[in-house]
Amino acid sequence: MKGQASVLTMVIMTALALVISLAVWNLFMSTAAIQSEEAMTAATLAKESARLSVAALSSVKVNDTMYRFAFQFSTLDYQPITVYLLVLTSITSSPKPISFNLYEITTPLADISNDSTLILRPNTTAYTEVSESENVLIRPVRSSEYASLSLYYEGSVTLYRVFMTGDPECFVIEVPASAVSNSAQLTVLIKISDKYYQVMALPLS
Amino acid sequence: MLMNQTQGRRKGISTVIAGTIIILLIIVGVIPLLMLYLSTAQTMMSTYNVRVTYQEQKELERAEANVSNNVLTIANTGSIPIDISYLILSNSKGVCSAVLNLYDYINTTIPYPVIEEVNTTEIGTQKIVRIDPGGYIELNITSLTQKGISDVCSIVTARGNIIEVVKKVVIAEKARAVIATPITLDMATIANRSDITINENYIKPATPDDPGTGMTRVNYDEYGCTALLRYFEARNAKVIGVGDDGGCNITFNNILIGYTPEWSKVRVGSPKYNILLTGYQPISIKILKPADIILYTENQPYSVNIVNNSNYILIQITQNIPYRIKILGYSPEGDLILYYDKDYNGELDKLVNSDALGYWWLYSGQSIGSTGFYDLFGENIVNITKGYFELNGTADQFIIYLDASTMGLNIDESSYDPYIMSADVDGNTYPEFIFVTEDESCSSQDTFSGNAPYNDVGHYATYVCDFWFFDECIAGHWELENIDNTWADDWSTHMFLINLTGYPINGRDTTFVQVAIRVYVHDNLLDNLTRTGWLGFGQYPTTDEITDKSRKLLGVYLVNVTSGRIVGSREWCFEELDVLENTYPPSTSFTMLSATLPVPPTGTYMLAIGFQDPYGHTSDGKNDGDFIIAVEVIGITFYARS
Repeated sequence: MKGQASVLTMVIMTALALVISLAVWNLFMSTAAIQSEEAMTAATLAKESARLSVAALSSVKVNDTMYRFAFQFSTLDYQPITVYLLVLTSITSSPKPISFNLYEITTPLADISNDSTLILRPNTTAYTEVSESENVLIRPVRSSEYASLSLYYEGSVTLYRVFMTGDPECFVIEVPASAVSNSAQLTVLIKISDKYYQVMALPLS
Repeated sequence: MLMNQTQGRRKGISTVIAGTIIILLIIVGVIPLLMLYLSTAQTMMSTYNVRVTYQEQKELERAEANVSNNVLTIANTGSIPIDISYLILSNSKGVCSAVLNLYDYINTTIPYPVIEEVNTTEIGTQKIVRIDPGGYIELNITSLTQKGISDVCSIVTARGNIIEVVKKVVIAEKARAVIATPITLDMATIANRSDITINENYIKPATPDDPGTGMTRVNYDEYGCTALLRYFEARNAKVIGVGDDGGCNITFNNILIGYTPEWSKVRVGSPKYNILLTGYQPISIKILKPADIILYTENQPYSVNIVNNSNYILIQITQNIPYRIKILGYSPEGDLILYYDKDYNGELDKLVNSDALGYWWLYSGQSIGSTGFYDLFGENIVNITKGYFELNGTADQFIIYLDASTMGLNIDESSYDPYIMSADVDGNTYPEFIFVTEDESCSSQDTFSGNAPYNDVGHYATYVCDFWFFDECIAGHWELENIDNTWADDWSTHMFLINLTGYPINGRDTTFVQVAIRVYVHDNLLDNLTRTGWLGFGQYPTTDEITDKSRKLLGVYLVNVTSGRIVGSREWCFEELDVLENTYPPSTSFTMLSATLPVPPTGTYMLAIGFQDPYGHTSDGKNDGDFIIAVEVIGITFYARS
């Protein structure tokens, strides 16, 4: 009897150990998958933010109510990229985006204070999609790149989707003079899965 | 004993089981953690490597850029190729707000702006200019000045690096910065020059449909104003004069003969000439076919017949009307010959090829002209009663200008097209930019009667003596005789300005600018005659036909590029230029005129050269002079601000 009991105990113990092991295996594997996805996202963000180059070329006060900023967008591998643009007056607990006009330069030589050499980027690229608070992740300007991305926007926000070939292109962003300050920024985001992540922020001042 | 052995065995089995379970749990836990770590680390390492590569590329870019004397130099001083995408430029207000695509600038600018390039590639697909390590590119940026650009602020690479442009202002070098190559003015190319701009309304072809602005003339019947316009043009045509004697000679009043600027520069092959001929007497010219023919109006001009034959077109001016003929790119069949009668005997002498170069006047009744190529317009003056030009050759352009009123057109203003031409008239390889309003005759005011016979009318006045003392006439007056419809008194409605936009002057660097221009001036006002005869009373009166001598004929202007405001100028009025010329005998020499203009310490400036005929038609014959103003070369010297 004792022998049978011992065998039974061993079987139960072994089975229990297997169940526990499988449960632990499953737990770790699911954790690994989640962390791997986050790692992939972080890697993509790091890569894209390094691949994308945005340089502030010039700024000009067009009149008392309007400023224009010229930026060169390019990718270092000359491969296409789609970015989403957002202009924020400042980063607070509930920052409000401001509307802006996005121009393309139509001639080899353009004075950004002169309308005749600019063409308004077609409105079809204005892209209203975001409605969930978790969907837009931005980081305050001038903060460390290792700082956590913050979650903002509890309502919908209009992002300007800009497809770029990767070759150097000059865009002109026109904002109200009232929006120009030391804390105003042009935020450049990319989309991964269903979220928009900031990869670059340039001051508008 | 047996019991102890059994208990020990059970313990051992339990330990093994427990150990197995523990090992199993450890394996189950550690392996996923290890896998997680390895996969994450690998991904992050890969990303890190990519990121480092991009950052290195961006940071390894090294370039230098500088601007000196309108030459922008960009050099790659780093170890990897750099791709230049844009230049940031300052506009006329000095604000760095202009963006220029460098690739487009290089490939759309005329003339080609690249002075020199080493290890440089223009890549059209990305619209960038790639400079390999050690390479450089030198660009002429003078044409940007015309577009309101005052300076270059920075260079932008495709990787987003912005390189500040250094302004090379070496005081000593700047002070010596004489433009060694003179600025020459060629009418054929002046509309397309990158360093010179001219109001297109002043230089466009004066056609009935689009006559332009700048010049007008009195109507051929002296009433009202009209415009000298293109009536007929033949291109790439064989043109032959139809003379009375069956030869190829055509008569003229004034004629300007010079080499074309292109031929004068290279001097290879048979000479080609640019010729401007004025007259009013009947002539006939035959244009052989095939030729590109343009008839600018379907109206039938007064006294002009056109016979359109299968082999040629014959143009006949049958009565006295004022006209001009411009023959550009003329290659004579054989020699270029100018015939003249200097002795009133009907026998013609001739000037051949280079001897015929010059400005020639055959004033009706006045017989003013000159011969002698060694002393052109100078001591070897002879009276020429008649002159003929042997017209027999091919011309790139053969243009006949008539009064709009002659063509039945109510147009009273034209561009400067009928009045300007480029030609190397003195054969010194530098073409002159010639402005001519003289057409037919000269005049002078009678000191005693106050009469002032008209200029540029086909038939001249006769001086009639009223009071004789022995054999000398001590008082007389001019009588106009046989005045017919040949009035050709012209004048400017707008000054012709040559804007030297390609030679900007920065007030920060330059304190003075000195402009030197080589000019030839002539008028049709007999205002320098000397009295001769007994007691100083002469057969020829002294004159003072121009009573308002302050009108400006020529000027050099310093203009603020931003505002367009003239901040400095040197103008030459009639009184100043009159002393430089002589109507009869014609003065022979060019004169260097110079203007030294102070430059304000701020702003960007350009120079402009202007000329005009400010004397219109008057009812009393005074203040109605016509002129020749020829500008040969312009030199600019900068004086550095210390």
